[in-house]
Amino acid sequence: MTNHDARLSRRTLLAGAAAIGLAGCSNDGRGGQTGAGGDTAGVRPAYQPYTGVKPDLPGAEYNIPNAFTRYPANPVQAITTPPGDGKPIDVLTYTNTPIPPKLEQNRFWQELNSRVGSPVTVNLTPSVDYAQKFATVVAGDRLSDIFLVGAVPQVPQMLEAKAVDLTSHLSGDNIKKYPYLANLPETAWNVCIFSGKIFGVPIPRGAISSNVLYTRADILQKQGLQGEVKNVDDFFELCKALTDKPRNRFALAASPTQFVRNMFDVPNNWSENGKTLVSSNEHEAQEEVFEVLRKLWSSGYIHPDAFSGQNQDLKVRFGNGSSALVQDTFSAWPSYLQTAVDKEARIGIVGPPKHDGSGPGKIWLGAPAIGFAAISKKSEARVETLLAYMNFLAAPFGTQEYLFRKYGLPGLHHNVVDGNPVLTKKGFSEVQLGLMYTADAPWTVFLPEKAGDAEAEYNAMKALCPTALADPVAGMYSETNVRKGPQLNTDMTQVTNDIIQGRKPVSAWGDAVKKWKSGGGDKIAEEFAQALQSSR
Amino acid sequence: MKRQQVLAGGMPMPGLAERIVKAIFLTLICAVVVVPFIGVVSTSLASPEEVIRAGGFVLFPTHGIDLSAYKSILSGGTVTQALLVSGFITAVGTAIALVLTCMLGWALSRRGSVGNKPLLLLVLISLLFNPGLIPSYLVIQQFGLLDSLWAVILPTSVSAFNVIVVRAYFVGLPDAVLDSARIDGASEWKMFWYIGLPLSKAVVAVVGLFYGVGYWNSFFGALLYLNDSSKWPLQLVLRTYVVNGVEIGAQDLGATEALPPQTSIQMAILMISVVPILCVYPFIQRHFAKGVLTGAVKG
Repeated sequence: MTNHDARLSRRTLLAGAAAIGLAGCSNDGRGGQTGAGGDTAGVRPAYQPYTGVKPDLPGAEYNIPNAFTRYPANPVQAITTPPGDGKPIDVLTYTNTPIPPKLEQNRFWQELNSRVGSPVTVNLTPSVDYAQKFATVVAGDRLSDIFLVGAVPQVPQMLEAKAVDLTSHLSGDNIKKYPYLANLPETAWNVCIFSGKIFGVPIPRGAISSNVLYTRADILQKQGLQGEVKNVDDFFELCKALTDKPRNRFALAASPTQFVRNMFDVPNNWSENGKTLVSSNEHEAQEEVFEVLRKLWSSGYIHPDAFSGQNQDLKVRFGNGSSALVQDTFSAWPSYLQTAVDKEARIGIVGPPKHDGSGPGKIWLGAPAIGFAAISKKSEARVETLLAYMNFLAAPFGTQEYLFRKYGLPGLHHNVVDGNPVLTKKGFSEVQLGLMYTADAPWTVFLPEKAGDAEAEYNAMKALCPTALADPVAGMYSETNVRKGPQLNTDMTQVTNDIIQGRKPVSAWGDAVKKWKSGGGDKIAEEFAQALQSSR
Repeated sequence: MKRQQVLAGGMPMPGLAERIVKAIFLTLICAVVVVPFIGVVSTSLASPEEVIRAGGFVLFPTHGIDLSAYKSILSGGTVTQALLVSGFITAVGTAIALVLTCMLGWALSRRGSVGNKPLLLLVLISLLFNPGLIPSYLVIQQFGLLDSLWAVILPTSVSAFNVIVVRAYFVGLPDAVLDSARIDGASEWKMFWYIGLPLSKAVVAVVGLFYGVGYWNSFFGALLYLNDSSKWPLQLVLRTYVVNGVEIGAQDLGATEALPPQTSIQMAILMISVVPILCVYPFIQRHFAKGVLTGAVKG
């Protein structure tokens, strides 16, 4: 299910974690609870999109993020009274960035505390180590007031025991008291509804975390190539034209596994078959997919280090032009902009065609949420304050609160360049308080680094996302998946990589799938199917 | 008649051809070790453009030296603070660990000391079983050590392996020396302090190095037990810069003033964490073979 195969990028980590239950979830409980018929309609928070800031390119209609070509000149004030109650707010979450300077040396943190009206303390853990940290903290019963739920077994039972049931605060119209939480997309809430109870606030993602094929549009243009592919043969042609071994040029920075699967209509992880679920591992086109990938590899179109390097190497290869094609999520766009050496570099997106040329293919839609944060039972008395704090953190793009949260104070943490905020080095080091993994606004496409790119990304998303295939059980919970999923996925990725590189025959896939099924895959399918049934 | 040259050990000097072959062979082996290291140093000092053009790894910076990777890590004060914390943990931890290990090793090396065999068995058992993540955490919590540097220092202050090494060395001390000390009226404590330890400098140095490197490199205990990131040791802080190749910043934040490429930052981090150990190593290295071997053979 990961697309960079050998590498573990943060996004694949999170996507994986979401699938294995970092997010946990489902509309039904496990462990013998039969669920209240899965009637989530009455429980689900009402969705009330925020209309206070008008996006330059609205995305709601296409189920994609809003895009802004520049930061609104006079940001509106979204929150008038500080959410805090004066008592400390303690948060446990993870981070993907270097840790910030301590409070005494951190102007941003001090200002945050005064704007929140409570001293905020954060317990940060590097995201890759979060599951272990979370497991020990749960065992030691030392959960913070607000905690991001980690990948531990028995999430539903853990939540029943340790987390506040937020249903009475957030279900239906009750959520309107927290207007910026009501602005989170409906599907994102799936991850935190268990047995008809809401146990947390999701960190939304969705379309922005869909994987697509990026191109260096400037290189394609220079070589007179179309940034468009009509069928598999077209794709081979494109790769061939972009490969020049003597000059150390390889079309693909890494194996385009998902892109090829998209060409063959392989479903996004699972597909429904009546009341049962079928894994995409068992899809009949998998062997054809491998034939294509093996040919790409043996023809030398994939960078030789594709299976050994780290994720960031992709960006270096794409940035210095040694590979003009790379598969990554929509959210990675700015990071590719930042690693481009050539100022003329332009980024494009190629949509997958159907392999036989019978029309456009479908990409896989990213999971609606990457996780959720819950409130500790010990802090039940302060639940309204804590929700108000999360509401504060979810203030959307274009507001003063968002500007402060992401960019700190003007002149100190960011400078305004052409009307857009740009973080200074001080800002970069001080704002890293893990706020975006406590509660966050829906994603916004905003690319001030390069004029025109926000439109480009918005248009690419508009073209690809409305038809994208969703994972029918995204955000749902399967106990076996939490316990065995990571190992099973690692094994399948290993086989995938071996087959592509010709170390194993294509027929090895069938055996691997059999092993996957008996090793837990069938059980996972069964549990997800049950979760899906009771969510309806 | 020309006398054949003889090496210090009495071995005959090999012929010229053989020496050349050996020299080439050894040079190659050295190069295998040294070249990547030069690459690390060079990449950490190369300019961002050069790093990206070279595909991430620079062997020799040709466009001058660029310290931006180091500046970016050392600005903000978190890394310098973490250096102090790591220094404290390593110094205090190694001192405590050496005292405990030597005393335990001495007690276990004396035949006839109280509970000698059962105690030795307990130490050996701890080589076989690992307490596991959550039980360790609960113990630390029960002792009230959470969020304290002692939580990182104390749990690893006695390593069974090192106790065995030290004990073996003590067992090998000549009985005659200790017997004569006893006749002169020395107590067990005096024998340990004035005879045992001074005769065992080599093994103490080696075990000290083991502990020192262990404390310097450890991050996982800190990750679990220290919530306040201003108490984090260097390795854990540096870990947040390189978590599995995550490109920092770009996606989690908006536009930022140009940051150095991730590879330079990683290499600079490598330098920062390796240099202190490299500085200490030469002073202890001369004891190394002697200390470990003596312990091993006479065990």
